[in-house]
Amino acid sequence: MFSAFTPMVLKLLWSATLETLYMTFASGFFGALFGIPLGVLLFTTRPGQIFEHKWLNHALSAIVNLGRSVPFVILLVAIIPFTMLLLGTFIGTTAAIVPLSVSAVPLVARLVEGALLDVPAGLTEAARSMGASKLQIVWKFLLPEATPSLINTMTITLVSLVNYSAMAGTVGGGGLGYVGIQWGYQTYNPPILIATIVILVIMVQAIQLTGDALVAHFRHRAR
Amino acid sequence: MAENDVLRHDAGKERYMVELRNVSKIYHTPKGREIRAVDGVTLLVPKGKIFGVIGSSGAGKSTLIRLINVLERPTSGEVLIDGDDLLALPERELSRKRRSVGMIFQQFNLLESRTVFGNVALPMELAGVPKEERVKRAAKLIARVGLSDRIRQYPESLSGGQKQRVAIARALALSPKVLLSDEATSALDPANTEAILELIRTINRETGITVILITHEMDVVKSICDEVAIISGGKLVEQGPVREIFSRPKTEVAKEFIRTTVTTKLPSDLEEKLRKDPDGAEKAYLRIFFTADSEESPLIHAASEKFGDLFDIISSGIETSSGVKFGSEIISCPAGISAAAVAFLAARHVSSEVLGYV
Repeated sequence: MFSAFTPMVLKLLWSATLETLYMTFASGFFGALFGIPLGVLLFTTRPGQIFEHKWLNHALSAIVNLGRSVPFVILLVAIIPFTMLLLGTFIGTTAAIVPLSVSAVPLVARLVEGALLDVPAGLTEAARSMGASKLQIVWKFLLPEATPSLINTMTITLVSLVNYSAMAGTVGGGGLGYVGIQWGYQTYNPPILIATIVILVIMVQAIQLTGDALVAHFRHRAR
Repeated sequence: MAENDVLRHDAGKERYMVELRNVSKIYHTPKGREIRAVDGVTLLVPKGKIFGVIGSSGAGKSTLIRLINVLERPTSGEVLIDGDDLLALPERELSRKRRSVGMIFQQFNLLESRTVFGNVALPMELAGVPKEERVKRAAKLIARVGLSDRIRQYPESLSGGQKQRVAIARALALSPKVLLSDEATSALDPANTEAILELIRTINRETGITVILITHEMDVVKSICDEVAIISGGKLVEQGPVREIFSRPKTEVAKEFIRTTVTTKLPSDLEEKLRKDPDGAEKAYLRIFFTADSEESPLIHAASEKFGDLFDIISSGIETSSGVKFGSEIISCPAGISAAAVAFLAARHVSSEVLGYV
């Protein structure tokens, strides 16, 4: 069985692992960069919140729902023109980050909205009574209080992205999913297939454990 | 001369720290029904006093207190803090102005993500107080509320009473002129309630801060307030110095609140025997309420002189608040003279009720 792991294969697995990590974390980064502000907007424009705005809230909510209802494989090809516009190509690991990020943004936004909904409403009131500005309410009250939930949000998002990145192989994204299918499945080489799965499992475990440890570190709430 | 007049006018105006003039807050339900949470209330709170607003739940007191620092904007009326018209201010300046009004809450509303120090320093951070001063002042305030040994701990490890102390220190961080207390002791046990009220009273005496507290418990009013306003159905029904309200309550609502705090309980074995029907009864049992004008022993003495030695004191609870003696007592007398006794007591400003006959 170990004969399957020639130096060439090992090198292949190694670079595929790096590609998956790259796709996951880069798109996780962009997902957070756009998703967290969008989630904050989703929350703060709700009725009774600091930027209450019925129209904007409905519009954002509809966009987020749209983003979340398109299956990733379809999104992958549907936004090829957008990727072309952005990067000049739609093939390669970097190009795959575009659809991955686009799928991460609405997921992050909804989870962030939920995290903020869990912050006790009395806190916003206390903040206002202290003379906090609206931006201060977001920066000094809502986000810090929601930090453990926000970390959870990112853990869930990154795990989903590990998963999605496997599909990115279809646009030449590379990564472990691609190696597993092309080398393990198509050429019928089970050890390689299993190796990719093992690496993916370890990756997901590591992300989850790190996320949980960070949550435990930041949570100061009696349970 | 004219200048003097101006000065005098200003001085007169500033007798009150908080002035609500004819404020109303009307909500509309989704079905278009009107709810008058606060209805034409005028509230004048003198500087340096501890002012209580009491009402049962749904009376509108929560809304009322939020009108003072304009967390809720009144539908109509005026809100003045130390002579400044808050409703005329644009949002940004209103936020600034709120720093002169500290507020504490029933649920404490501390940040779980910040330590005791971080919570107390927060208002100063928002206001842009330099770090060095923040650290110094926060430490001083935390010492003031007796939590210096907890300064680096998170709220999760504190008891309810300690959390409220942190909230008080936080509310005082920007040296406000007014402290608003929204049912601050309602989530606390009696011992902690007592301690928190004591702390508020001491701070009021030391700093001269004006305190407005809302509560549904007359005991809270009794133990620390100088003046009290009673609200019911969004309307202010009675207002005045605590001693005056306790001695001469005018409205039924006021009387009811006073009874909740002074009512002496009937022994349970007796309670079972009592009948509503006086026919053929031997004895009548009365509950009488003492207030400032009525004193216990001369009263019984006078009654005995008039009716003969026929009164027995069954149980008694007399208390003192702001130098006013008040309380209630359960007495018995022959059934035949109960009506005459009630009239006799009423003539001496003592309200009483016949509980029943045996």
